[in-house]
Amino acid sequence: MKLSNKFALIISLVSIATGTPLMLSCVRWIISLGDYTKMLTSLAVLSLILTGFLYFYQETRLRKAISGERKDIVYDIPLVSGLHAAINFSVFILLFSLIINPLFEITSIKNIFKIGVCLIPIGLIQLSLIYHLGFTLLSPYYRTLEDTQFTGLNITQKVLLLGIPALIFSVFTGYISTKSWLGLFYLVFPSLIILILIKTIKEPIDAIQERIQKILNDPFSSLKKTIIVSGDEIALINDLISIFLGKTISIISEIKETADKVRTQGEAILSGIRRLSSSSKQINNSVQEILENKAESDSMVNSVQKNDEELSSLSSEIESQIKTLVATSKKSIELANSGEEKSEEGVNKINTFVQKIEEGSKSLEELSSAFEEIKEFNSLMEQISDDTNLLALNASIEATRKEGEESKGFSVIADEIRKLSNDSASYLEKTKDNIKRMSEAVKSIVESTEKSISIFEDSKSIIQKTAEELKEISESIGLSTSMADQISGILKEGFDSISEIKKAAKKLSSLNEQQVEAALALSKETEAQVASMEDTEIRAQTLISIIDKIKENTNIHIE
Amino acid sequence: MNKILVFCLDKIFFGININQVKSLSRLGKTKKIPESPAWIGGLAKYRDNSFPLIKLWELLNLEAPKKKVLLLPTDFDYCAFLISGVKGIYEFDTDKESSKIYRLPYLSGLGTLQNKTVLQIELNKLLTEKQKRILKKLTGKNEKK
Repeated sequence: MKLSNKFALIISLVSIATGTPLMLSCVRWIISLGDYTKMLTSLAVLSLILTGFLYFYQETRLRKAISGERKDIVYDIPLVSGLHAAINFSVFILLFSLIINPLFEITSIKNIFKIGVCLIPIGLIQLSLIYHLGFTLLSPYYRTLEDTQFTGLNITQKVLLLGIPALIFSVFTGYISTKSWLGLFYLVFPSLIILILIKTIKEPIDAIQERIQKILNDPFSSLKKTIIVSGDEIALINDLISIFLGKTISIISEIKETADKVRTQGEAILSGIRRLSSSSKQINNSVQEILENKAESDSMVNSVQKNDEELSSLSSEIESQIKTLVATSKKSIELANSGEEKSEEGVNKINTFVQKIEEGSKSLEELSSAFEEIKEFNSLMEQISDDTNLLALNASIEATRKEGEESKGFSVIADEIRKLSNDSASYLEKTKDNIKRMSEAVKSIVESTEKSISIFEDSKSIIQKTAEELKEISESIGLSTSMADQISGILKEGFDSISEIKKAAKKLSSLNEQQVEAALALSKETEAQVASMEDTEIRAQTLISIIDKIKENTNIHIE
Repeated sequence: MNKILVFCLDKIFFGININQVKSLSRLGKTKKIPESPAWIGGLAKYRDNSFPLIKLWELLNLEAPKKKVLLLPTDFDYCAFLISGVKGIYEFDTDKESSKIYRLPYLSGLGTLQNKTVLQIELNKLLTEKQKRILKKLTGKNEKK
């Protein structure tokens, strides 16, 4: 049997079972019939119809709700079922009253009032019964649903829903049964007791509910003990909650201690992570350097390989050139030696020549001094000429002063003297010119001789230097020849070394590749490590912050 | 026609009538006269007589020559003149009137020799009275009259 069938059957049966006696007593009160057989028969038929109707209605609704076809009606089922039952019975009372009336006459206004009075309590009782029953039956099902929301009535509403119809019905049936208002006492009393009982149950439940609500809203503020005065299981539940809270406090303090430890550990991890992170960065840098070095060493290896080919071609050239150099050197040494000898000869010849020139120069100097003497003599002659001229002039002056034969004599003398003076002056001028020219010629000879001597001296020093340089060249050539031999030997050694370098370069290249592979792997691992460390760092920081929060909360509330 | 002794000072030809010239002589040794004016060239001896020497170029504001010749005047014996560049004795006429334009007391005429102008000067008018007094004080001699 399906859940929907079960639920529909239970509700139908319960409503019939509770509603029928109520309806029966009401109808009896309305129309005051004595024929029970007819009444029971018609009641049984109507009850079956009603049950069937209720059953199918509820079954359809429940099936749709459970299958998820109509989710909106899930929580309405108990209330709607109650209302349905209430409406059914209200309508049924009216129908039943008409059926059992033999004349099918319209009853009096008094009876219609009675029917109305019966309809309200019976409907309310049916509604509350079926609603409570439906909710109780469906609670296990509701708990299985996601996002469970109990949208039903609260406990006060439920009490009112049960109590008010019960009170009305008590008043009504008490009056009907006893036909006296005294009967009301026997009915109201139990109702009051029920209300008091409900209250004694409700208050502790409300207190617990309130406490739990507080715990839910702010778990740490409501850990203090709350005393509830109640002798039943509710007080026991409260005590159990207190024990649970005490245990929770001790667990929280343990958590706090552990949090402290975890925090210190977290900080240590964080610092470790930071150190590791910096180390990883250094590793990455080293890897980068290795990669850069690899490129450099690769280029070096390549250049070594290229140079090797060039060197091998050069080596043969160098060897042949060294041989040529040695031969040329020997020839050069011979030439240098002969040059040295010739230089010495040249120097000797220059020395003799210079000696002779110096002798000539001395003679010229003597000649020059003779010219100087002649110059002095000339000036003396010039003076004599001047004096002669003056004498002539004086004679002329004297001739003008004298008269007659004396004057003529003076003038003749004056003329002769003037002629003599003029001649001597002209001769003197010529002599002066000649001496001047000769003197200048001698001067230029002396100067050129001095220049020649200096040139010869320079030449001598140049030849001496050349001889020395030739000697040095000869020695250098000798040295370079031996050097060439040594270079030849060194070159051979060098080529052996180059072949070894080449081998080493190949090894280096292969080693570099291995190193690079290892470095790349290391780099990847380091990157992964850095990433995980960063993640761990974030987590550690989050952990520390969480721990700080926990500590903060526990510090505030645990005293 | 006058007989004129022609000499050259600073490229200017001067002439002196030979009647005013006693004799010409080579300049021998001279003695310096302390605190004497610039136009006096010291004391010179000539035939047992000593004469103060007048630098003619200084009197005429001309450049000093290299060779100097001693000229003894006929008219006075209290000094001798130093001249230079003696060209000789020439006979030529000089124009007195044209020389008056220059208004120089010692200039007595202008003549031409070998296309060059010769300035005829009077030796006794070369010196001013003050200069003469200075010379007379030095020698103690007076002008011949």
